[in-house]
Amino acid sequence: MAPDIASPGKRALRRFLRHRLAIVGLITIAVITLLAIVGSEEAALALNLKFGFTNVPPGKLPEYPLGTDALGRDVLARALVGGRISITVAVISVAIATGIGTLVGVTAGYVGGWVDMVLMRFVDIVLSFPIILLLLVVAFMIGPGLIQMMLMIGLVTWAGGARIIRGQVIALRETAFIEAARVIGVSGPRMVRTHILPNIIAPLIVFATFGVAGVIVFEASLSYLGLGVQPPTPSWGNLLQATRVVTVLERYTWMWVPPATLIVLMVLAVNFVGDGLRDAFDQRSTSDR
Amino acid sequence: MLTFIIRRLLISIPVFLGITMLIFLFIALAPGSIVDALVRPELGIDPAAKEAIIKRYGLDQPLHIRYVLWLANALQGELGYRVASGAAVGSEVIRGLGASLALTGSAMVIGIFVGVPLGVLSAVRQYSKVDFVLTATTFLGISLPSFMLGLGGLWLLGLQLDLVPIAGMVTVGQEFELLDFLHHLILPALILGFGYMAIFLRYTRAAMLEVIHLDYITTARSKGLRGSVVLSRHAFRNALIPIITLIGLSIPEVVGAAVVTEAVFSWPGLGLMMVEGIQDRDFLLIMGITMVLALTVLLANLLTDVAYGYADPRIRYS
Repeated sequence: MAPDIASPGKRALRRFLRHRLAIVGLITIAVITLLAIVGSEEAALALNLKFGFTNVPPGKLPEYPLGTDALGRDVLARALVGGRISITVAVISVAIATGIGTLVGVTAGYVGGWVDMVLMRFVDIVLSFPIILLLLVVAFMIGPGLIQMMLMIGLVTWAGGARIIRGQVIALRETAFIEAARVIGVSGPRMVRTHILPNIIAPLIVFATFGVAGVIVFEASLSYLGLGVQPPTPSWGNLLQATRVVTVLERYTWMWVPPATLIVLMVLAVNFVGDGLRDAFDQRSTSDR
Repeated sequence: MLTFIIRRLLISIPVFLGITMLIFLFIALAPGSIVDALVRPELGIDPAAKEAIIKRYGLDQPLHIRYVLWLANALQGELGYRVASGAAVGSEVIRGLGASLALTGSAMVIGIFVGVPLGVLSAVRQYSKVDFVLTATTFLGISLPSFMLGLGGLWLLGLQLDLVPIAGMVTVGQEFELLDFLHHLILPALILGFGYMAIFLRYTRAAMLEVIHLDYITTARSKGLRGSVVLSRHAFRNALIPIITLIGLSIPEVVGAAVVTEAVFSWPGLGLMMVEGIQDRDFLLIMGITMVLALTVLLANLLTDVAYGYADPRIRYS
């Protein structure tokens, strides 16, 4: 058999495609995201307070396939548009967290010395506090809202990423090709851009993927507690607020089961993909299976 | 060891002061004030009355004076009063901490005492059916948010099957009874405990797999030691460090980190109290809770370091 001369990226892709659960996860994410994009914002916000249009169970009115809520709004449209908000929050917060984490991690790992010590002590402190409680403290400071929440989650969840990236950069700094680059006089910023960043992209992608699953749960939690996305804008989290009324939780299950199901499916799917990516990028598994 | 503990405690004092100072600064800079909490801003308030409230709470003083005043009172156990009820923040925080400790603490105990042994089992039988089932369970436990499990559990076991009470820590209007309390505790504790179990299982399995194939384990086996002795004395002892780290990092979560579970089950813990504090813009309550949180984090770090020394004799403190 011919020796495998595929690039590491191609090998990783091939390994990922063989990870069945990850593919199922990827398809699930694509379907949910697509549905979330096509969900009608107009239908999600349109009140219908006329008699016979509120608290309608699924299947009673053809224009409301999954029924209506207490204000006569379309449950299906709200679950889908809510997903659009939640997924957007997840992607943007993770982008912020990954950005800060990379900046801090690369700086600490590449510069080293006392800069490294100070930054990593700070990371240790941030990581020793439970994330959700830090989120609550920040929520007190900057108040509820969509943009506030993206900022707040991004500002609180970067520390784990910084630690991972720093470890990678330190390992990389000792390799021969970095040393060679330094010898021929590559400057610091250029070194980071052309030699370091491309080589830490794999752990960054894995961190970001698991981050998305985490943030979807944080968004749901904060909005459920009334500290995140504010009604009438729907989000997966604030749709679940309805369950605080026992009657809704007990009898009007159609109002909360759709967003709850979508959250569970999305989080599981993202975790499957994360697992698949981690295995695919794993340097130790040299076999191509 | 004793000198180490004393020195660490002494170092903790300035660190703690630094943390309280930072938190005080951040919280004080937050928009919205206690005036908005007492009188809804959209209703408007007579400027003189507003002035009086601001004076009464000392908000006209410069920030550093306010911090020193707060600290001086806090050191005497005077943490102020809640905006909503007028109850003393100190006793409120202790009550909430007790409730959170009961819930998260018992969940953590379930997680450790089920998760760690199963993790060892999973590692010893790597690639067996047992390992496969446990790994799959771990994946579910880590991925499924306890939030959704809580809602689902409450709906099924609390409302449809009527097996457990749906809210609170004890039956309202009844004297405290242990059985009644446990009846309220069991569902949320099991749901949180499932998550903890999954994490402890995964870490224990990974830590055991790191050591189980090392040469000294083979040596111990070839000396003719019994399998159980090799496992407990040689392998598990060396897998303990990451497990202790994980326990140390989990301890601060007893300060109300299970806030959503507390909210779903109306469990009167610190997390839920903090959410109330945020809604009331209750500066003193948030300060009180964050202070307890900071103390717990520092204490947990110290405990973790002491435990390292016991688990691994190579780690010495002087």
